[in-house]
Amino acid sequence: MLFNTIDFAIFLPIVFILYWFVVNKNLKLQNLLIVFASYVFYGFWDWRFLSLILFSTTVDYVVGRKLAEEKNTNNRKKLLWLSIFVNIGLLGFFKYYNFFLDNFVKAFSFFGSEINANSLQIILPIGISFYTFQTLSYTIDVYRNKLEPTKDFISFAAFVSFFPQLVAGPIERATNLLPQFYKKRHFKYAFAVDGLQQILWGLFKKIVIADNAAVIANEIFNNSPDYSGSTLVVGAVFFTFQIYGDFSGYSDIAIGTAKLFGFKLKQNFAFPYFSRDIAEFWRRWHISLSSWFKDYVYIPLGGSRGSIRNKVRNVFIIFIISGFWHGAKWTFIIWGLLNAIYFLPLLIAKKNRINLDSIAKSKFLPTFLDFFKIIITFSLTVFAWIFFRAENLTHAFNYISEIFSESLFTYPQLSNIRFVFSSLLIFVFMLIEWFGRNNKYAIENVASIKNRLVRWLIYFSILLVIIIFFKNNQEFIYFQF
Amino acid sequence: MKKFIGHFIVFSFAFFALLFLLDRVVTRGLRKSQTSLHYNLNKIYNGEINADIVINGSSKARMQISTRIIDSILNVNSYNLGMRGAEFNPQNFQFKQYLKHNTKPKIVIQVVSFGYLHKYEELISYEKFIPYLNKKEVRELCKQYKGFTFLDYHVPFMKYAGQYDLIINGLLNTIGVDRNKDTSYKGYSSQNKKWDATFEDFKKSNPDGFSVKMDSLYKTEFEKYITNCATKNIKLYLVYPPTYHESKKYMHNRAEIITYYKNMANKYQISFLDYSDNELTLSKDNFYNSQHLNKKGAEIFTEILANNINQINTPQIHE
Repeated sequence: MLFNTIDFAIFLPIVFILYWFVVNKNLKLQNLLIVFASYVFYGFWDWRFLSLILFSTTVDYVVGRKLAEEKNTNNRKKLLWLSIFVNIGLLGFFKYYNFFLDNFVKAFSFFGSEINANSLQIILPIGISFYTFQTLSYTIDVYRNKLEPTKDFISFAAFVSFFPQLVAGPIERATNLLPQFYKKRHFKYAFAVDGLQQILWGLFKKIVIADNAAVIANEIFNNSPDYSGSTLVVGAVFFTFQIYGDFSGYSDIAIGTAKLFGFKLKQNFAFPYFSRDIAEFWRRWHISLSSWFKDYVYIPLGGSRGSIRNKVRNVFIIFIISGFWHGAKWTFIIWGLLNAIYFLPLLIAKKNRINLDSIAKSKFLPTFLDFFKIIITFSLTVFAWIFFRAENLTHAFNYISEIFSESLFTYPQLSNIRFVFSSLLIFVFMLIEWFGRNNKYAIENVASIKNRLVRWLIYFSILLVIIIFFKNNQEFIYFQF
Repeated sequence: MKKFIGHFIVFSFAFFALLFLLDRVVTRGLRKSQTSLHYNLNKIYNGEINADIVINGSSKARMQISTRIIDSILNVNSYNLGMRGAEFNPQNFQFKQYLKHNTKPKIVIQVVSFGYLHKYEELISYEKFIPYLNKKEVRELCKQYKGFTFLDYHVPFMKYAGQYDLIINGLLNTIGVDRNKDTSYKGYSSQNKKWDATFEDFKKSNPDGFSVKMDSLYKTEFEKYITNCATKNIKLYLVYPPTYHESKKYMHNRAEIITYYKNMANKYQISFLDYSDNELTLSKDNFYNSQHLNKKGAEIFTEILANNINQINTPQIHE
């Protein structure tokens, strides 16, 4: 089920009413309702793959229980590896089997040996990269004794399948989300209003910004040989906003929906396009994934400690894995690699943690230097997104080579009204984001405006713009990951 | 919780009231609009056409039959109701509305073509019907196609969701600003263009050509349409227009379709004017793509057509 559909608009109030009015007195029933609703939500896409979620849930629940009983370090390690093997195994089979097979065959044929291997017609279960990482975080934290393993299977199943963030995150940590299922939730007016407000902003980002930017980005990327370098730059910039609006919009809807049920999820985006360097960008972009990799891969590898060689190795590993997590394509790996290259000079110069404060704090505008840094970081990001969006490496390299041709200095081949209109929308959107950059999401402060008329006028305006730009069944990009 | 639900209900009511108001304003504006999308339907519903000769069809009518030439040769008041991309069903719907709101014509020139009786899944140029979606008959037409949802029919303004061009046009028309006015002459839209590359692209993507299935329900309705014209004493001409000769081999069941129209004409004793092999079809100079005549071709074709009609039945036109 997509958040931006009528199905969800019907589903959400039904679950909300059942949750707060029918099963509100019984915590177990509330959690059971969440599991049921989450399975319905997922089953709308393909009910057969519910078995995978249930399997992953059962394995990690049992492993968690066994870890609690097991004192022997070796046996504990074995249990951890069992969980990793099952979860990564599922992910590997459904997401990467054909990739490895194809590359294996190509590698052999390169060296003169022809292998006949048929790739399988495998459907990628949506959200698999998200929920497998979420369950893994539980087992690893239990193994590290950071978390008490749960005895409550229903709460654990609700934690794994929690519908607001099941298919595209934020990837929650068991340490944050699981304990929330143990406690009775009380309805709080301000929290629920905040949730609705965040849903509204998420829908705006998705429907108004991402879906509009997608029209131009898709046209340019799908027909890139027909366009000049300057137009291709425009295409890459529009994709940059498309992916931000799409993914951060989804996260906002997910976090807002969770708030309606009394849950607090982690912030997943913190105005990444205002970052002053790439390290800051990665602290602000897809925070739940970046921090997952940091805690469970980067730090165990040694992180930024040790020799320069180790530091460089760790950075490359983390960014390449991060790229590969997005999909079984070389374009994602190059995208990760490129980000590692951007990041490395900062790490070596020990400047990767200089921009930890909020941007232009208590100022109306950034300083010229900060503005310059923001533009440079943004440009580097735009360049990397070309690989992310391209169909394959040839497409990406052709796209880039056309950008760096004489046609870069021509006027973009876009004179239609949609281009002007979409650019204007993005400009207004970025202004709102700028003025709301010190909040969890840009319009968070609207709820605190005392004058109800003003507050409602703002909501009405946003809702109207959403309706005006609404198109049926526009998928979210991150569903494919 | 009570406070939350209460505020939510009040908020929703207020927002629905706003949507209702906007719906009224935009719809009213669009019903005055003279853009090519809404022009004909608005004129039909306002009873402003009242022609002696009505030309029905798709873009093959709209772009190929000049009302100026028909008027001058037959000395009548004609109007071209051709709808871009429309097959039988929307054409038939539009004509029914025409008869309801305008005086009945003496003659109908019905342009039939390869895809005329083929049922499409989507209603092409459905946007023209949106301002009239509150009318039962329009809703019934739209419900036969994919695209419209429950919300479009029942929630105010939702029918304009995603249609910002329509919304802007509607709002501007409300204050008297009409953008992109229709430039056709009584529905005829001449195409002063040279041969383009679409046929070459078509050949690449359909090297083996294609067939078109005539919908059985459409066939039945088509016969009803013919008898209805006869009952109302409207002289009906079925016209198969020229298409570029090289394109014929890509339309596998073309001969079968033309035979069907011939048989219908014989069965109901009406004229079938077949220009599919006219010498106009031999030169690219007369076309801008394989299926449509350009201005030059259209004007030659209309002259031939008007003269043929004149020869067949002059007295009826001037009765």
